[in-house]
Amino acid sequence: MSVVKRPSSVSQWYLPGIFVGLYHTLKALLYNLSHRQKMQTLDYPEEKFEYSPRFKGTHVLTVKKDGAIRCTACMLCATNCPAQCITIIASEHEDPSVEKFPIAYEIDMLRCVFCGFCEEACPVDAVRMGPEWQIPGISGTNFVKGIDFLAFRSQLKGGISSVLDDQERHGQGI
Amino acid sequence: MGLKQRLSQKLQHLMDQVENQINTPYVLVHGCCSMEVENATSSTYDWRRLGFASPAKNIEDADVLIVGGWIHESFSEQMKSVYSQMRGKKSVIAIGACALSGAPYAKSGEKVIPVTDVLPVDVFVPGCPPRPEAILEAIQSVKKLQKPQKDHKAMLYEALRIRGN
Repeated sequence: MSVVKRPSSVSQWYLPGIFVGLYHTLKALLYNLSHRQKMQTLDYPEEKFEYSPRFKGTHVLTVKKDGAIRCTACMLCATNCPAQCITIIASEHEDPSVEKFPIAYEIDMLRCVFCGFCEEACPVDAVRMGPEWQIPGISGTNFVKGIDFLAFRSQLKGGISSVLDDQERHGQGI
Repeated sequence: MGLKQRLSQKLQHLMDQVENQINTPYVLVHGCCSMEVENATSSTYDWRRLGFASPAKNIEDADVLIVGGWIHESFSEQMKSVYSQMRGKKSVIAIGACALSGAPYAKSGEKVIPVTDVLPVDVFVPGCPPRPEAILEAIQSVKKLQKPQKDHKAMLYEALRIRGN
């Protein structure tokens, strides 16, 4: 038979509990006032949290040494995308050494889940996950981002160049 | 008697002023986006600093609705009823790829619908899940929408143009 122990009249006032709670609050308050630098709260717009370089943020389209887009429009990223947010329109290039290139490369930011599968699928290091988190917008903002945002936005400072170039690859026989 | 009335009026005015500056959200988020909303309320990114109260328990107290996580078709009626019970200038923040477009579930045969089909969304926060900073940015833009600040420069230019004509 289970016996339920009723709390006594003294402990029903919860006095020790209240004082322990107040003590902890006061301790944290005094500590924070005396150690302003160690305070956990960030003053967000002025003070920003630094993410690691492995952070998966908004996409970056890399560029070649001459400034054109590295992407060869092979559609592997669009095929591998679980959310089906990438649309590529390929076109023929005037230069015979370049097979084809994308005239439109669009990513729907509202649909993208930032899994990094496009980066994994890319054979020529054309798509990377960048260091910035996504910026919110009010209704009416265009969230379908094209080449001019993905490759040449102001944070990238003129585009990030890819590791391998076409001529180097042909020289190595890849 | 007169003094008492005047004092109470002044107190009421002060209370109204404070209440106008504080928005109260109602959080309707599930899944992994809820973790980030908790993160934005917690001590590192404290959204109470920006004049945004801690999440309301009653819908009637709230004037901002935060929606996140994937939304099934059968949930839309309840969402509408939640929206109709809010007070003041209502505004909606939609968080995460699932709520905004259905993301990977959109073409999977599940009946997942975007929030924009059900409610008028004011601020879109893309990301899967969005960082707490993005949620704080959304809060700031909601505050701008709810209480638009007067652009004194533009007003001055307009007045000068009228006078010139």
